[in-house]
Amino acid sequence: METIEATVTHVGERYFITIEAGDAPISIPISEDKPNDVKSAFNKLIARAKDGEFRIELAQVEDDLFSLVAKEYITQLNREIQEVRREMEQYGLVKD
Amino acid sequence: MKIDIHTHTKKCKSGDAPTREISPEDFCETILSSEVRIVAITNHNLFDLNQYKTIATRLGEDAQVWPGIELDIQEDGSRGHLLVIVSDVLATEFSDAVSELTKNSTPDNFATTIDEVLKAFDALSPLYIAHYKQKKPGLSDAAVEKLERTTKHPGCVIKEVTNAISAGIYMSHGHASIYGSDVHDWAEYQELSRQLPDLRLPVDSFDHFCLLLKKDSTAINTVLDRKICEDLVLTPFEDGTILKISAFNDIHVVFGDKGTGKSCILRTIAKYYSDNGVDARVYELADDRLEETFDTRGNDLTINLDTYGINYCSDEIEFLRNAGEVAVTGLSGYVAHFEAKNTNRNAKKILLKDMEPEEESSTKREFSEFNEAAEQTAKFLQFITENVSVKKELHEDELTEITRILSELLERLRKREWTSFSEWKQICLLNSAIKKFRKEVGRKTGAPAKPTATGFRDYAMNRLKIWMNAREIVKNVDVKIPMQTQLVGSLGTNKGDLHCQTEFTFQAGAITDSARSSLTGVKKGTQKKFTNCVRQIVKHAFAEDLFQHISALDEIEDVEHIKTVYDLLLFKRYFALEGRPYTPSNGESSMVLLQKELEAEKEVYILDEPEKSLANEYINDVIVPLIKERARAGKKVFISTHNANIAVRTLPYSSIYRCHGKGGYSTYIGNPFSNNLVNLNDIDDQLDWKKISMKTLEGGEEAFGERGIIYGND
Repeated sequence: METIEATVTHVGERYFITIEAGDAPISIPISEDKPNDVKSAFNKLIARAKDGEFRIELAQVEDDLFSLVAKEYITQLNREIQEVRREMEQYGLVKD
Repeated sequence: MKIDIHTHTKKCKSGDAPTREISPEDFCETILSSEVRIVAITNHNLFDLNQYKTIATRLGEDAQVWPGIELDIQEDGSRGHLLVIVSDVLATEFSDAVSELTKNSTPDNFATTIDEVLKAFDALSPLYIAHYKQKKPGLSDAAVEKLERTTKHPGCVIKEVTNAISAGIYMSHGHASIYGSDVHDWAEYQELSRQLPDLRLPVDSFDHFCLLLKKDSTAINTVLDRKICEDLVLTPFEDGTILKISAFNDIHVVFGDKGTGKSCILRTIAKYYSDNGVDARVYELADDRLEETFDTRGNDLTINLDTYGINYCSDEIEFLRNAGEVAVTGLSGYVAHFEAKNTNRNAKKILLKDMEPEEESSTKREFSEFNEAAEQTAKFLQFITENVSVKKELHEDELTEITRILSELLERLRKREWTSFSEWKQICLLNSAIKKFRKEVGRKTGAPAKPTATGFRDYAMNRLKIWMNAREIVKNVDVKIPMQTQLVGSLGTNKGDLHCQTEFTFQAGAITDSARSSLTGVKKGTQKKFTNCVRQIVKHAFAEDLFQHISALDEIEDVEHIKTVYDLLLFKRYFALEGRPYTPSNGESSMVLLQKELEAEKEVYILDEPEKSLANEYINDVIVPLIKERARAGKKVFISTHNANIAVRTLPYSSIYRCHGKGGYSTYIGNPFSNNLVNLNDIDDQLDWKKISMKTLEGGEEAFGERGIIYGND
């Protein structure tokens, strides 16, 4: 299974989980509720899941608030991605 | 049932082809393989009694074989052939007579005279059939006249001609005529026999045949009485005139001048049968009937998509139209959870809230799979224990063994079904408890609970479902439905068969052909927009603008009329010749409609002037044989006609003639066999069937040729 690295990044006061998938990194805002941005990130993750199995691993885990949030979020996200991936396999929607 | 009055079984003369030789076994097999059921053996100047008896015994009740001979006649300096045929019961006497006549000669050098023939055979009441005109070598007119004049059985002298057309021509000129195969090569007999004359009335024996030939009314009525018949009492006319007719399981013709009420009679007959629960309607020709019959406008056109493995997609379409976005978990919930520090001692003790929820879908899927497998196995087990064919095929011990294995399998599947169910529900309960505890702890302590899921799963599954449903719709509308071709009828040998072709296509998004119509009446623009929208949904299923396309789908005008892909169907239905669109003329429409009517499986056929717009050749070659075939199948056929080809060539069992004279309307009933028509109101008022037919009917004298082809003519 491929491992994709994620990091907590920030632009000023705005924090993000940045996932290094493909050419353009996938960015999930942590410090503010932006559901459309999260959905956009999810769409990219779905496309990525169709291409092959992977898990996200958070690099440089710190003890700050946003790192804790990112760690928990990625843990849950990984579980859900695996679940979706298995559903995709079930329906024959994944690439060989 | 056909008759062949002229066959050879032996090469008697040096000029005879060796292929005329046939063994009794082969002769019987050949005859019984054809439609011929009465055959006369007429070898040249020879009668082989032993061979005849062998054949007669072998044929038994399956066919009649009559003894006969083909004699060389030398009369007034000219030479011709004469067939002499007698009753089968007189075969021995006939053999003796032949031996006496032909003694001291060979078939090659034998020749006799009319006087000697009469002296030898006339006491046996034979049928004399003289070669005539084109049938070489023919007897001279003088010789035939002498035969007719001097025989005690002038009604049994017939002229043998070469074929049906010649027979028709001679008979229309008052010469009783017939033709036989005069077979030269038995290998060709099957083909040859198809052209032989049909027997319209059943013939019991040689003597019976002679009586029918002489138009013996008792013999004719006996035959007619034998036919299944019902008496119809009708009041077809406004003046209340009662019309009593005998309806045979055969052909009936109504003829007479225009305006004498023929159609009224037919309508009354149709009503009589309809009232008695029989499918009967009057076939009439109308200009637009072909298009109407074949529903070229598609008013009642349907297609079963299941036949082509096409999914109607009703669930898929409904799903797309109700699809909505699924919310995701806000990140602020996580931030709030980690920001708050829970100092409540009791809350810290509740560890359940800190557990990670477990995945439910795998166990749920496993349960579904075992559940399905168990259900199918149970059904199959029930099937094989109850099915009669399975029980017939399997021995008891085999059935017991299969049942045992399947029962064991079912038990194991049920166990797994239960295990997976309990595992699934266990996870559900656990996840529910985690969620609930987190929420309640958060509520009591004021510390926000940790969200249990990011929402990715539900979000992704929703998108996947939208994509799958849209893809299913697109996949099905992209199916090419094979063209449907239905035979309309034959337009004759030159043009070939007319077909009705139906092209069904889905509005796949790019069809602009104006000749195609919407099958269900949904607007073509709506269909097109719908399909294109669904294609966009497939393309954008994982894009941010997906719901713009779903909204666009919902905003299409009249989209609510599209409930399944069936509502996206277009059709084009047209007549075609050799695969190309073709517009049949009125005459061609008449041809195929009449064929269709006669080919339909019914008990009663009622045709009102079926000859309209039809050429005589087509009536003779196609329609008359079809009518005869219906009659042979024991169906009732009533035809009103002005056409001699129909009225005469079908040899109707019953004819109704309507006319209008000084005393008003009159109705006559009769038949061509007795050649008379009797006034219903005055038994003494009788007309000559042939004369009236020739006077009233259109279609040429040649039509009368075949009328008396078997029984002669006046």
